[in-house]
Amino acid sequence: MKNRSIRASYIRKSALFIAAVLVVTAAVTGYLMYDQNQSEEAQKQLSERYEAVDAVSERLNELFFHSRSYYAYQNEDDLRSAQLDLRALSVGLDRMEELELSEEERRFALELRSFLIDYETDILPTAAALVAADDYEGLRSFGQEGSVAQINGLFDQASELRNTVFADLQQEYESALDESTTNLLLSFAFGMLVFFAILFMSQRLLRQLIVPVEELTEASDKLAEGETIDIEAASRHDELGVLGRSFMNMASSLQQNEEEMQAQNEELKAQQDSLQDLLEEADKEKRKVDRFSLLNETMSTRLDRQELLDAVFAYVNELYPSDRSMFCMMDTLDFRAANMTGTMIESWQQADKTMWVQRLTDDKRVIITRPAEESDKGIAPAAEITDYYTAVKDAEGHIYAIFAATNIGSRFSEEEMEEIEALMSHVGIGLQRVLIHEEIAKSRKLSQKILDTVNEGIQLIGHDGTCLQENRAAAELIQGEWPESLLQIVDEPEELEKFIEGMISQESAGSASHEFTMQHGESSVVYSVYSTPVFDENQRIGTIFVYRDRTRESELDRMKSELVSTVSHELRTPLSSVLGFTELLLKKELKPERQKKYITTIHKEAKRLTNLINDFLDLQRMESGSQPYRMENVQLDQLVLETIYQFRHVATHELLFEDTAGGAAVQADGERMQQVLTNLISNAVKFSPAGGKVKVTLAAKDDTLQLSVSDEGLGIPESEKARLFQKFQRIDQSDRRNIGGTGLGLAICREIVEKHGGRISVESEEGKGSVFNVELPLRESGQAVDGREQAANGETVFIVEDDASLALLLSEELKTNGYRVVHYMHVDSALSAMKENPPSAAVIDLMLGEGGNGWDLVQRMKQDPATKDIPIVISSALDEAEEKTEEFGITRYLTKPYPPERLSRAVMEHAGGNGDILFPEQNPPS
Amino acid sequence: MKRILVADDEEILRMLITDTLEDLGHDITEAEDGADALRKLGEAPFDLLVVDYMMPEKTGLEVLQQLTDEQRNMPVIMLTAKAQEQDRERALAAGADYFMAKPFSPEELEALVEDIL
Repeated sequence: MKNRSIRASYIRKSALFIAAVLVVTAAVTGYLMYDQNQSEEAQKQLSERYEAVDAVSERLNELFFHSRSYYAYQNEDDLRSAQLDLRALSVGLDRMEELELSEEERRFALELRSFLIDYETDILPTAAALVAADDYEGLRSFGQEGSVAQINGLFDQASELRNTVFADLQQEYESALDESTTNLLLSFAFGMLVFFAILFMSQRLLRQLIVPVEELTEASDKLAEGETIDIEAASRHDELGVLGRSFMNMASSLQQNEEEMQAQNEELKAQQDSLQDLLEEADKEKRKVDRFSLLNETMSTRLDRQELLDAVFAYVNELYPSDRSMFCMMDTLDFRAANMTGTMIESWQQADKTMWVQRLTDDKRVIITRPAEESDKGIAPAAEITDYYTAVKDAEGHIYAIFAATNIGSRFSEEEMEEIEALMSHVGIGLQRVLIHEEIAKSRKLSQKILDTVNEGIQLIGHDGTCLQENRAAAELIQGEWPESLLQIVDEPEELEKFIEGMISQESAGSASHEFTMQHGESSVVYSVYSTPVFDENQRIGTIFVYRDRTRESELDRMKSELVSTVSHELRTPLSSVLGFTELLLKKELKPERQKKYITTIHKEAKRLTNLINDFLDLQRMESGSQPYRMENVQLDQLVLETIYQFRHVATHELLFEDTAGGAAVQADGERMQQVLTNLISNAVKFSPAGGKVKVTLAAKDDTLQLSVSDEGLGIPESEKARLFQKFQRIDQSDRRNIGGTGLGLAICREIVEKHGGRISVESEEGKGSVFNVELPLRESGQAVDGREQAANGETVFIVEDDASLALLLSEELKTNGYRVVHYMHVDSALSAMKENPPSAAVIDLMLGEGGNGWDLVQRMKQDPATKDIPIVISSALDEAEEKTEEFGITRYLTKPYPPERLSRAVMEHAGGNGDILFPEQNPPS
Repeated sequence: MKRILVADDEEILRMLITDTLEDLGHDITEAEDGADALRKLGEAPFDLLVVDYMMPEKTGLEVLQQLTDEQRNMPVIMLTAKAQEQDRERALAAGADYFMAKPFSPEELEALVEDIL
């Protein structure tokens, strides 16, 4: 069978079709063109005929007109025109005769021609002859003869002829119009025919292609559904035929294959069943391997001991099930157990494991086979029990843990035990990792703890400028991103940034430090940052920054340098005097008075210098804490009295001591406390240059003892009070400039008082005087209450005595009995005080030394009505002077030494009395 | 005999200077602080001013700064316990001509005053 290609068939058919269309089109076009030509030709002939007839008719008319005119007017011009018309007519006639003429026309032409000949040869010459003869009559008759009639006949004939031709022409046009309409319709019909032919052709072609394709599609669907297929197209001889046939072939071979496959399938199914068994076996193995690799992963990735123990124990029990098992760490006794009672676990934990360690170090396993014990009986009575022990060891053979398993009634297989032991050596490696990690974590934690405990902020910065590690102090300082957060809070960020960048840069080799400040609240904080590169095996790993708060130190530095400059200034002034006056003494001849003046000055200034140095050293010692304080029980009233008595030579001021504190025991260093008192009293004296009262008061209030020293001096300006207790703060005013002093006394006082747990303060009014108050904690509370009550009820007794110890003795005795005691050392001051506030009694010593004579006081008291009634007790070392006793009416005379209670008795007997003077009795009354 | 004003808040130093200069035969007036010195300078003209740097009320520096144009021609010896450069520069700028550091020697003071006058 010869295959014909679809493409070839298509091309061939198309070519045939196109050729047919072309031929028919050519034929139709040819016909139409011919028809058109015919019609045009006919029209042309007709119009030529019309023109010729028309021309002849026209000329004839002319001729007629000219000849008539000639007849009428005998104008030669008319004759010539008629002759011209004749010739033109002859030419027109010639032209007419050349055309295809109808019978009628031909006849007319012949007739006209003969007439023309006739006219030319006969009529016209006749007429001319008549004209020439001027025979008008002849002419008129000639004109009325037949020639005119003949012309008229011809003329009518010509007109008629012209009309006929015109009608023909008209007819010809109409028929041409009809014909062209017909032709148009014909062309349209032809076009339609071609269109339908193409439509038919393409439809046919499509049917030839689409139907088989659809058939194939349907067949392939059927094939897919497993149905038998038959394709009509297969019988075709073109490509579709080939396709159909091969499709058929394919379908049949598929069917064949399917059958074969089915057979194979059954065979395979049989094989699969047997494989399934193998697979299950392999699956089990795989699970085992998976489980092991999971365990392995846990061991190699997890660093938690408990997690590891859980994983190992679960694994062993899952893969090697036994009746009882346990796993125990040797260092911490961490324990995992399965099917073991609490008692069993406890007894194992408490047992001495040395034996096990020994045996398992030597052997890799220990197996004990024994009859069932009491504890095992619940499970399987009378069965044989096998205990299996093995150990987890490190590389050196040291035992980390022991694994033990027990089987009741069955033994452990060799294979099983070997697998467990292999596992345990794996566990050993895992455990070693955990232990190392624990060790590292512990030491890291310790390191961080140490770092965090350090006060300094410590940071390790990497090459790229990021913070690798920092301690708590550094984190607290920086509070955010390093270094931005830090740079935001410091006062001079540019310099710090430069320092940081310089230190981080790889070129920086040595260490360096930098100082910066920042504002913290209202105060300024000074930090010093120290930086140094950190190396590990010659490889630079980063840079360390250490931040230290130097605020306190820098403040101390500042204070120290200020102090040095102040001290040097304080020292220079007296030194200038000493050196200057010495030089004058050495170099000049001076008068003795001047020499003395200079030497006195030098002495004074040298003393001032000494005081200054002493005070300064004292203060330094105290501030540095190296001043030892010997704290002991000190009676402060005694101390005050002793101190005041040191000032008894001061004649310019009235010194008095008012003591209302019942008990005045404080815990103090007596010597230092005395220093305070001395300073305060000497200041009071110094700064009241106009004299006046210097009063020391001792009173108890609640749990404190209150000591105050008041004067009537210059006072302290309000603005200076705050700085008064600071070093070298002297009030620089002209009225007190010449009052010497180191400017350290009050600073020393404050230092000492504060070391005693007390407070020192000042009240003052400029120009009226100052009161310095010292509060000290009382040694025993309760004392104060006593004292206050007694003082409130007590009457005042004046003691005028220049011996401090004796005055104290008397004061103690009187205070015990509830009296308030005021001490005086001078006759004058005692007398003026008595006038102001008369006491209940006065105890007067006769020998007052610089203070005056006791008798003098007694005498003056008796002379003054305000004081004459005050009972007087004479306390004297002298024997009674009778004449004086009589003279003044002394109430009681006590000769020293006398027991103190004698005094109080005497005072009590006479206090508030009528001015008796008491004499001391020689002996106590019986 | 020249008129010299000695301004120092330390009475003893004042005495030392006064005695030394009086021995040279000069007429000495004492001032006990800066304000006092300015007051006395205003009362009468002086040929020389010896002034302490550290004084209450007004410092030596302040005294110099408040001198009138006329008084500025007067030579000035400044006594200073702090021989710091900074203070000296400020004093020089204010018109101090000579400096004597404490402790000073009366002989040197004598020589300096002799030299100036």
